[in-house]
Amino acid sequence: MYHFFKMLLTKRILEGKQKLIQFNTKLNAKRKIKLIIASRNTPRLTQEEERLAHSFFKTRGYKLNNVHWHMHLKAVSGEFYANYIPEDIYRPLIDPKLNQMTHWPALIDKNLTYNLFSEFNQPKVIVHNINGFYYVNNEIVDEYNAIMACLKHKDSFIIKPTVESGKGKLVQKVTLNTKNKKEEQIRLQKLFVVYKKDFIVQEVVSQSETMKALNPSSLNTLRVASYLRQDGSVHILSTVSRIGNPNSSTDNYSLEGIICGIKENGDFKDVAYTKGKKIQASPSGISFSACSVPNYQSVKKVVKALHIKVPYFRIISWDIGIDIKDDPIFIEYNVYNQSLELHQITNGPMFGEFTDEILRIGKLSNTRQSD
Amino acid sequence: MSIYHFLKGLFTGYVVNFQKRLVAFNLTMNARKEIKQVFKNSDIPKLKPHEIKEAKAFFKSKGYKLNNTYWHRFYKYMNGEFHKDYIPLDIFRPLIEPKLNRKIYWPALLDKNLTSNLFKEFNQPKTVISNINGFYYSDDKIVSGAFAAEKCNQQKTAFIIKPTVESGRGRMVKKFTIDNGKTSIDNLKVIDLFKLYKKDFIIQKVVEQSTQLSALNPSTLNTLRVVSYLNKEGVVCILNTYMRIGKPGCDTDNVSIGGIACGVDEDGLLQKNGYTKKGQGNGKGILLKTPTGIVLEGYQIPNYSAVNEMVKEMHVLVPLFKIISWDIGIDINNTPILVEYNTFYQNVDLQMFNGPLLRDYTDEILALGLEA
Repeated sequence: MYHFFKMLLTKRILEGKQKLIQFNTKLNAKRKIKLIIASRNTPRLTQEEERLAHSFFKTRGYKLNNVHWHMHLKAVSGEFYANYIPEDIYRPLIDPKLNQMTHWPALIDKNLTYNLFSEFNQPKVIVHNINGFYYVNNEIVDEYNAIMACLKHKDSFIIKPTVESGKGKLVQKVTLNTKNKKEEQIRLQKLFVVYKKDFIVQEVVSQSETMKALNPSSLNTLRVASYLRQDGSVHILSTVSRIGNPNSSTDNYSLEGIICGIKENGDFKDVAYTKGKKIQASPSGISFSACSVPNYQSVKKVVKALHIKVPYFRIISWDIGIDIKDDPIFIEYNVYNQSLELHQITNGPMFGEFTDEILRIGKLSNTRQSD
Repeated sequence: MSIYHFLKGLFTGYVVNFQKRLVAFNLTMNARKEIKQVFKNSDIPKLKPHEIKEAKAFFKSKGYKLNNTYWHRFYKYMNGEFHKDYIPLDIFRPLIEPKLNRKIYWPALLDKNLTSNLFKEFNQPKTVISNINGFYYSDDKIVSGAFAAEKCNQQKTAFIIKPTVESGRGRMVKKFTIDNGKTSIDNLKVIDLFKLYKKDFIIQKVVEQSTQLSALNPSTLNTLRVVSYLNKEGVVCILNTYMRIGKPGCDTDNVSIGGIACGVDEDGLLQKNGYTKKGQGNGKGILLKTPTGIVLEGYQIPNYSAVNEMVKEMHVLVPLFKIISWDIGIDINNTPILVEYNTFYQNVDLQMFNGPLLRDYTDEILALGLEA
């Protein structure tokens, strides 16, 4: 009897589950934008702007239920574009068609990316914890030896979860007091207990002087969005520089960091943004109009080379640092729940020249996801 | 807060919990369906009352409820031996496997396109073309479908084509050659063969296997299924190994399509009995020789210790899975070669030729199965 009902209902249940996930993703995105708009008293669009936005999406086969994202992006950047991509369309409808969920979050695991992208520059690892097992120099060790490996390392280090450390969650810089080893051993033991399992301890990246000057306390990274087209070519959709708050060890926009769009040639745009305000200089006083990402062409090259290693995901947001030698250094990559907000505030509509192509992919049925 | 988010906050825990139970229930019912098929139209004698009592008492003492003794009965029928600690599939799959193996990493880490990278320092079949999410790769570069087809056309070799995810039981694993632009699979052109597989598949050169293993059946790559366990100290232990020998004329060595399975002892020697589908051999499906006439008992697997060493080294690279079934071939140089590995829906029927699955680690693993 069980198998009879199972055969009858499985397909419907799975379809129902997919629709529920889509619905949940959509409502989460709507909730996010409603909170933002409510907290900032965001002004409405003009009637003409609303009409343009609705019409743009209608002609591409989408129903634009609200213009909240257009309102917010216009309020922050000062510019209106009909083809801003709302996250309550991107996340439930487009993201799942471009990115294979079966390979997430497995392929995002920071412990795994050392293997996956082994030929690329990455922060040096001191200790991996993978499923509760400690690894030092690719060999399983006990907790004591993992702690000793951290203590041998005289400088500060970064500890973070290897899965879902989005928005800098639980990413910590730890500085040891090397004079009191016993106390530090206990401190590290307690720290490891907090992280439980699936975390990584890395050396702090010595960053490029140019990037460091923007804010010395954080690794100021580039968020690069790339798109893998059906013909196998990788295109950079948008690059945003993220600069940390003074005294913060991370550069996340959600933690009052700063975002600044990067032009095609690597120059910073004149204006940057931080929680609701436009600014023209970093907290350290450096004017953005005078800034340029060192070795930016290499950054683009590296991202393109990285992306073809993981074609399971066709739209990826990469976090790339620039090290002391001005070489790009891969930090992590993001697939699901990517933020379009950073890109669209600083650089305008996310998909640029590929807007129509990507919106078309979003309309394909699940069995026919090739354009 | 919207009504939806309020209700979501209230019910998510229950829904997720319910889903877990439904999945476990489904696995249990599927396992029972499988074993009941075996019993259908079979004259498998019941266990003795004291054997049933022993089996139930054993599991009860480990914190499990043994709802039936189907698997104990079946394995005893096949090999003549009763062991109370045979692990039934309807306990292993829903209760133990999910506690030992992290489902969020499945099937991603089993993707054969990925394993070539994951285990790159180990011997693996040579990849000619990969298709990953619809993109063709040759030598790690994206190429067109036409280029990929032409690359295959130019090589004078036999190939294996297989899906990179979920090719369990040899599903869609096919050997082929190319003659004048047409493959030996229904005379399809290479590009049309690609279209049949759609996406996420791999084309490899057929492994030239060890002469000793080829002698068992030349038409298939006869592999070892090695079950390893990564214990809490980080030590990898080999739990069980058996040899799979293909049916003559077949492309793969799966027992489900008529292959033979034979236990392997610690020294790499085959055991006396080979097991195949019911109705063959002595009627129970037990054979003493391969179809090529080789006596199984005492047949030496070449370089067997290297197989175990390789498995132990590989397992530490994927500690997300504590119990893994590896498929290992032996190539023409008698070097072990990784074919694939399995972490979910692993089969426990090897118990019929090798005895209880978990051996010295039975208590430890059963305890892990009960952890929250």
